Parts: sequence; C-alpha cells; structure tokens
Amino acid sequence: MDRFLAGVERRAYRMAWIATSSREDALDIVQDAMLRLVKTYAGRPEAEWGPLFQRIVQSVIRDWYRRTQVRNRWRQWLGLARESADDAPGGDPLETTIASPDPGPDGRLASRHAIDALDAALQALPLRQHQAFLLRQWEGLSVAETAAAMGISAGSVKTHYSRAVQTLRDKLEDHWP
Amino acid sequence: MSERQDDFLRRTRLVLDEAEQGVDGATRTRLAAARREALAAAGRRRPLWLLPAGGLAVAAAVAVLSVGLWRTPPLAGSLDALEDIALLSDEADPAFYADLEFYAWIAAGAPPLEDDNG
Repeated sequence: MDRFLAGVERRAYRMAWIATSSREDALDIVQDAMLRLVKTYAGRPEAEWGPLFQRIVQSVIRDWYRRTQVRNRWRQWLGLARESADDAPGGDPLETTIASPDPGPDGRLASRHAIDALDAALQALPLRQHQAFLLRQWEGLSVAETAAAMGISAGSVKTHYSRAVQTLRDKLEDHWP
Repeated sequence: MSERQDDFLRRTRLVLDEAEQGVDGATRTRLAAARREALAAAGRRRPLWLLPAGGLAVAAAVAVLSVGLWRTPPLAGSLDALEDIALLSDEADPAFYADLEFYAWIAAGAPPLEDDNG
C-alpha cells in the first residue's frame, strides 16, 4: 500500500491543487483520501486500488467544494463577509468555480509558462469540467470509468469533457507558450 | 477528432506530466508525511471515549439549529440548513447523512410513535 500511494500521491496532489488553488487544502485532501483508501479498501486486490483511490480523491474534492460554498453562505448570513453580488450562491455549486483566478499582473506573468497557463485555464473551469478533463485526458479513464469516479452519468461526462476541451483550446491553443 | 485537437491534447498531457514531476521538494516531503500518517492512523483504533463525540456534536448542532430555525426565519429551508451542518461536521457519522430527512422530520415536530406494546 505504501508503494502504491507513493506512486500516485503527487498526481493526486496536483489534481487537488488545481481544484483548490491551496497547497494546504490540497495536502489535506490527499491525506484524507489516503486514509479512506487504507481504512476501507486495503484488503481489496491491489489492481482495484487505483480506481478506488481516484474515486475517493474526486469525492473528497467535491466535498471540499461543497463545504467551501456552505461556509461562504453561512459567513454571508452571519454578516462575517462583505456582501458581494459575485459571491451570491446560485445554481449547482459544482457547475461553478470557487475562485476564478484574478488575471492580474501575476496571472499575466504566469501565462509565459505552459504549466501555469494550463493550471490557470483549468482552475477557471467549473469543477466538473476540469475533473472530467483530467480524468479522461491525464488519467486515461474511459467515459464509464470517469462517470464512476465522478458519480455522474456517462452522458454528463461527455458534455463536461467536451465543454472543457473547447474552452481550453479557445484559451490556450493559439497562445500556448 | 481533428489532428489539431489531438496535438493540443497531447501537449496538455505532457504539460501535466511535467507539472507532476516538478512538484517541489517541500511538498513531496509533506506528501510522504501524509502517507505515513494515513498508514499509521489506519492501524490505530479510535479511543472508545471519542466514539460518541462526533454524534453528540452533530446532535447538539441539530438541537441548536432547530431552536434557531424556530425562532428566526429559515436561511433556505430547514433541510438545507441541516445538510450544511452535516457537511461542516467532518466527524459526523456517515449514517447521519443518510438520515437527514429523519432529522428534519424530528426538527419539524414529529408525531409520537405508537407504542408497540399496546
């Protein structure tokens, strides 16, 4: 199990970091996912650990998103946050971004580098779109496997993935460093 | 799929791989520590005195929330608020999430159950 986790932890961290834009939150997500895998599935055949871990990571990321949305809503309700039309909750939180990166000076500087440009483009996507994209393209999962990892239908995976590819191409293809 | 799109996707994979390889040393150290902690924690048994703590915390939150909702206008419906509490309570028993409707029913003032013994 130690060897398996050592082999997947960096990729899981990168996925969590893209989702949260926070090193600490990403590390918490990876540790939580590791703990859940070890506690619940250590006895399962090793070949199953990969898909199981991926499903757990995506689930923990979704939980993080929901908790962040809820905290923001309660802070607003309790008057602990400034009223802002941009922060107003609405629709499915998983269809929106938590914090679209500010394309300020740092963002413009980052666009010189391929990794930063891709990170920023992924972070600007709604959670489900960037999850579908990373699982399909990076993890190489099939539509059905991606649907299982994300807990949504295969049709939704196709829609989210297609939109993600289109948006990323629009943003990056002609400006890729 | 067009050749142009294939090229784009191939490049994104390379960039993602490169980023994975480039995770800094401090973060790698933290990840290794997190892994060791997860493996160690999975082998530890939770102290018995801690077992009811999560459930009690949730029950207390539900009670406070129920009174609050009774005294003030609801934020977005009692069930939404209960879901919020469940989400924010990391220690909540997973069964709690499945029983949200039951807790909402209780909070709404459930009628007393009939006594099986007569």
